[in-house]
Amino acid sequence: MSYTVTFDYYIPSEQTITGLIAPIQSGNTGSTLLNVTGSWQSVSANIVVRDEGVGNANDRKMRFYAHNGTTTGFAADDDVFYLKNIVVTQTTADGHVTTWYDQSGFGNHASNSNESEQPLIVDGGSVAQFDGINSIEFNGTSHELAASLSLSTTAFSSFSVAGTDGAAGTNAQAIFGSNVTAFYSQIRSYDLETRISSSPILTLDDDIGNNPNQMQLFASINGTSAGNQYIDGTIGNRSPLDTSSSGGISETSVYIGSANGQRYLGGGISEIIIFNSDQSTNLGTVTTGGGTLIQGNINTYFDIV
Amino acid sequence: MWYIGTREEVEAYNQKVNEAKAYKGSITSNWANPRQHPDGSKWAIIAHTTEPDEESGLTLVEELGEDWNPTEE
Repeated sequence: MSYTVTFDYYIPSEQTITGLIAPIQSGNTGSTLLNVTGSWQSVSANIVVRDEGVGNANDRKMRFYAHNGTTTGFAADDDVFYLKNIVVTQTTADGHVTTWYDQSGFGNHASNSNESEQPLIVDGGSVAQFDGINSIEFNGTSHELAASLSLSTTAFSSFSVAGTDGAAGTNAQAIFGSNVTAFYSQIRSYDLETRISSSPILTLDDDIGNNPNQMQLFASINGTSAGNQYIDGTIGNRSPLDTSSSGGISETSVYIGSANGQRYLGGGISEIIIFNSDQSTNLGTVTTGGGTLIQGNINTYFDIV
Repeated sequence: MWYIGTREEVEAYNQKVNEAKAYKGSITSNWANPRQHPDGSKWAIIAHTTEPDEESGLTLVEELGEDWNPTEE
C-alpha cells in the first residue's frame, strides 16, 4: 500500500535535540534523519508500507523520534520540535460507485450492493478516466449497475458518452433493458448496435470504425416512423431504420455496463440520458468543441469532438 | 482473479470475505454473487485478494474462459 506524506518541521537551534528521525523511506526499511535547525522545512515523501504480517509491526507505524546527532536515547528536558501541515494521502485506493444518482429528478438511481461488481470512480488513487475524460470505469468482467424504472413507450431516445477497450468484436453493453432483446445499446470496437423494439425486433447496427480506447457520443432515436443512430454527431451509415411497425419497449429495470450478468463492458461511461419520447427535434448538432441542443451540450461538456 | 469450485465452496468463500469486511454501509452488503458455469458443473467467484486461499479447496485462475459466457440469444 502506498502513501504520500507531506509535513513541515521546525527544530530550534542551540538545544540538545538537533534532528528528527522520520519514517519517510520507501518500504519503511529504515528512516531518514531530518537535521536542519533554525527554520521551517517542508518534506514530501512517497511511502510504500509493508503488508500485514511482513517485517516488523513497527514498520507500519508513522512515528517521529527526537535525535541528538548520535542517538534517540537521551534526555532532552524542555527541548521542543514542531510539526505542522501533516497530510497523509493513500495513493493506491480504489473508489467504488455504489450508486450512480439519477440527475433528472425521477429517482431512477442505478446501484449494486455487491462490492466486487461496483465500477470504479477512483482507480489506484486517481480519478478514473477513459480516453482522457472523467468516467466511471467498468472492468469488462463483473462491473454493472442496475436501476429500477418504468419505461413503456413506442418512442424513446437515449444519449450516452461511452467507450470500450475490449478486444475487437467483444460485445460491450452500455445500456440494457431487463426484458431480453427489448432494448439495449451495445458497443463493439467497430460498431454500435441498438435494439429499439422487441415486437417486432428492430435493431440499428451502424459502423463506427475501429475506435477502441476512444470515448464517443452515441445518440439513438426511436421515432414514430424511423429510428436513427448518431455517432459523434454524425448519422450512422445504416440509419434510418423504418420503425413504423414498432411495438416499442416495456422495461422495469435498466442495466448499465452489462446485459444483466453477461456482455460486460470493459471501458468507461461518463453520461447516460434516456427519454421516453422522440427527441429528434432536440437532437442538435456537434461541432469541434461545441454544437447545439442536446448533442452540442454534451460535446461542449465532455469535449469529445 | 477468480476462484473456481463447487457451489458450497464459493458460497463459503463469499461468507468468509463478508465476515472479514463486516459491511456497514447503506448500499454495499455483500462481496460477490457466485457465478454458475453454463453447463452447471462448477461455480466461480471473484477473488478478494491474489493470495491463494489454500484452505478453501478452490482453484485460483487469472480469468474465466470464454466457456463461462452464456450463449447470446
